[in-house]
Amino acid sequence: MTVIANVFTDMTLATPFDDAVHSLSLSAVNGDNAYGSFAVGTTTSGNEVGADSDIGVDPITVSIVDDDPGSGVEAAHIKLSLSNDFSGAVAGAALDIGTLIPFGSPVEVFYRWDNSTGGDTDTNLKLRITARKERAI
Amino acid sequence: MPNRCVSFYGSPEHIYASGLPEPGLGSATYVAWINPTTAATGNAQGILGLGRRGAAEGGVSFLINGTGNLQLIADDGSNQVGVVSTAVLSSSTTYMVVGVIDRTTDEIALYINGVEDGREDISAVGDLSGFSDPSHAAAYQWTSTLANYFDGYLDEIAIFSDVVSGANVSSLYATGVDSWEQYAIDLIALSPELVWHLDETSGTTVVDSANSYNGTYSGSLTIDEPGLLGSNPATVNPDDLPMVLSGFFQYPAADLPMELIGSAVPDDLPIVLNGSLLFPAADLPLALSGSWPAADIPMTLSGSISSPAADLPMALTGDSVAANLAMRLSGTLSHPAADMTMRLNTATVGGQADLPLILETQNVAHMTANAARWNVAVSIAGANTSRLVNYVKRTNEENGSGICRFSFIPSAGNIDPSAYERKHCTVSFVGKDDNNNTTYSLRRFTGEVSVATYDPDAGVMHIEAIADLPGRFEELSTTAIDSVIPGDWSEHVFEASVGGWQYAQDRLSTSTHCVFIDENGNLQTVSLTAAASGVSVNDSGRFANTLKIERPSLRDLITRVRVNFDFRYVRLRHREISVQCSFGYLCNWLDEGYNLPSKATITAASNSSAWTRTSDIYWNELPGPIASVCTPPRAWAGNGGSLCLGASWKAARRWAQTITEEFAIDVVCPDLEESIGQRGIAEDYGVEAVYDATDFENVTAFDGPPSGATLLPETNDWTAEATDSVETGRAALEHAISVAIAKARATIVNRARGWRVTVECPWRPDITVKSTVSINTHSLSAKGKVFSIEETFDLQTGEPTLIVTLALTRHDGSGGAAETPLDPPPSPTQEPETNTGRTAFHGIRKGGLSYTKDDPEWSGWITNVAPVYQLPGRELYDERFALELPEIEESARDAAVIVAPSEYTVSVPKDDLTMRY
Repeated sequence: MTVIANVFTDMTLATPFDDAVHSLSLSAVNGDNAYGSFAVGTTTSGNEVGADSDIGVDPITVSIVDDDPGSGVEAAHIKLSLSNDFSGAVAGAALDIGTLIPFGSPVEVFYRWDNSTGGDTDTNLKLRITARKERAI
Repeated sequence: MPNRCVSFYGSPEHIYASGLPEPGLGSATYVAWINPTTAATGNAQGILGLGRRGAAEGGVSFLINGTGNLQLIADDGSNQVGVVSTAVLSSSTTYMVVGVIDRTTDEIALYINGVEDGREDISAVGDLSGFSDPSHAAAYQWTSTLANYFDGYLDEIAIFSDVVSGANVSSLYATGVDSWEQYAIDLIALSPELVWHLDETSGTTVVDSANSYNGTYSGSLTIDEPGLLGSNPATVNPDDLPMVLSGFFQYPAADLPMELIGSAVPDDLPIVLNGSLLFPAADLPLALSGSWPAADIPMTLSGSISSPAADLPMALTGDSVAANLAMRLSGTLSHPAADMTMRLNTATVGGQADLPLILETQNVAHMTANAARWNVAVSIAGANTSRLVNYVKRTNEENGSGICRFSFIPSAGNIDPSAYERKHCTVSFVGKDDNNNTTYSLRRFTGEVSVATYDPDAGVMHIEAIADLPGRFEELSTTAIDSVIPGDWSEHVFEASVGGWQYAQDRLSTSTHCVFIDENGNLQTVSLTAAASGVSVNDSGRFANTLKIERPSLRDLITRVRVNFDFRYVRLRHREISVQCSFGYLCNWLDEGYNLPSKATITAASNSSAWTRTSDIYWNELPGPIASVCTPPRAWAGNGGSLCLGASWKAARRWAQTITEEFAIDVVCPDLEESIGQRGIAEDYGVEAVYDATDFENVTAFDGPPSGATLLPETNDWTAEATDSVETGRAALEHAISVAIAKARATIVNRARGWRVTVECPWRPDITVKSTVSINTHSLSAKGKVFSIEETFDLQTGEPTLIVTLALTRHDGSGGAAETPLDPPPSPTQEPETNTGRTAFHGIRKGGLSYTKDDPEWSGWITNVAPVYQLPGRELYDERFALELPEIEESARDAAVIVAPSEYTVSVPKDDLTMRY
């Protein structure tokens, strides 16, 4: 368990996301929804973040991973978006959050749970961010 | 100078020139490089022809005869002598041919490829000068018609006024076979009178590189053919020539001596040194011989030259020929070692990562049970904190930070309270079944420990944690905040901002939304308006004694906001008038003998006014001679001279008018006014479109309206808006007004939402700040959006409690008000200005006829009738022409105040609130 590079709990980028401490938590009664967000960026002046696979070409993506498909909350109950109105967001779909994210312009990634499964706590889902590379501009 | 030549085709192609140097009684040498297509054509082919052979004035002809032999003929007009080569030239073969007239020995001679081939005595031939016919290359004249055209290639024609020795001819040939560049250098060194390199690539001028005996290409010849001479580069002799220095040069001392010889035209010698030159002292001695005014030699040194001034001595002496001065210095360039800075940045890689997602839902059966097992799980920096004592309490409210307080007994050992501070902290409610197994958990707080204090007497650590709402916005840009906070913002309504919490609050103040950080630490934005449905609590048995109602103070309620908005801008104006002057008729003038003004007087006056004359002056001239005119009839001689009877012209003036539009906008809530009457506040804002009109008003050099101006029919003036910038123009004004109206509307609505109903109800985790809650008891029914909550988990009694405060919007009006769309008001219409007349008339006042005294305020032509017509005791005037043009009236110059009143209606909701007994 460690800090996830380039991922922060909010847009101030003051708190790096540490999966030993932080989680993406939502509470919603059945039939309602709830949303939250995290930020992707860099705190190093003069740097930019891109996809490690081919920086500047491939986009950084966030996708929904279900460790126990067919049980509990499904990926299709989650939407990802770059705005908190989730306009155009497709349930269960991965999200392209940009090719290059420069210093000073972090990206806020919103996630929403439309609860239609009833009670209890579900921890089988996670949001997966592709490998990132940070370089000087 | 490229290595090019010219191709001729045996038809009338040739080079025409006049005034070429004639030998006279002196010597001459003619040099050319030739490549005949067919050497023996049966007809002569001219190489060079000066004058006309066989004519009375004579000439010199250098040619290939019909059998392919080279021939030189000298003809003084009476006698002619020629020399014919023994060798027969071959077709399509290049030769250097030379013809020599040697008056020191009275011989003429031929050289082919540097070897003498023919010599004859010419003592019988006299003065070879005064040729009346023009000269040619590639042809010569035998009859009065130019003929004997050359078929083949010609290159490097030269004429000397001297004998070029056989040794030099041989040397020149050897050089030319190898290098055209060296040939050109060596040729120049022999001081020719004329050199035609025939290397032109365009045009019809044949340039003489030695003097100015330029020729003209004529006919369908082909220039820019590959040259006949060798193409090896010249062997650079330091004393030699064309010099092109570019790039980085580091020449050792004495590498670049330049000697320029001849009577050159100074303009022919541009020396251009480009790039960064690093010349050690004394590296560039330039010896330019000739009559060289220093200023005549353009020399451009560009780039970074790190040479001391003494590095470039130039001495120009002697009579140099411009063509002698082409300089080309090639050689080895030595570049010093250079360091290129490398910036190597290491890229850091973060691997694919999974962010755990925890999705929680309350168990309704558990939380509504009469008795349910539970506990609270607290985590600080990811570590569970056991041994909680007393209670865990959290509060949360609209537009405020969430706070959570709890206490625990720390583990044994040393205590450092500060070690807990600024650590991530979560609090979860954990539902248990009868067997103490966890049935579900619900996050109640996510934040950061702000204060940790230790009570050593009790052995208890007290923690206060905060979900810092303002902190979420610090350092955030306006763009980032715009994406999550509803509302709008204008620099003309709020203080300048670059972002942060104040900017977020400004935006919120124009909307009916609030923000808060929820239990999971997520920033939430929700409407302040109660939802149609919500959570209902009606367990009056538990909360009947905790109900509390607060109503807003009347002082806090607002029913209307007057928004005063000033928009100040500059309008550019341009007015045109007609100036008319009339000084009587011819007969008046003749009858009364007064002076008329001169045209010069009128012109001077028209040019010295504050108004710019934009047309010519149309004169009312005195007529020409008339035999009989006026009564009694008399003759008019027509000698008016420069006087005039009248004049007219157009004049114009420009000025900047300041316009202030005042918008008075009332944002009104009729439903509130029905119940509490008018309670208003006023807000004043302004937008000023800054424009400096100094130039517009002071520059008088114009002859028509400014670009883009339109004609106002009411005033007949031209007008144009001075500026319409994004920041301060009309678009900015309209946006600012929209923001101000939205802010006024939000102020009215949010203050009307001042009712508070507070109740301590059974704990329900699904009641949050974003919830709409209905409270129903036998004495009260209320429904509204939650303003704040206070949640307490009492670890001693085992009872979780929830205190909820609802915010209700109330009014006692009829509720029929309809919301006015938030569109900016229309631009006001300006009151039409009065047209003050656009003609300025100037007449004549004549003294000596009346008792009216002279008045300095008069305008027009003021004069006196002739003394013979003056009446006794009448006033005489100072003669003058006074041009008085109208001033711009105050109403068109200064601020025009235009008021546009408008009203916007605000509808406020009416939340349920019924109290009964």
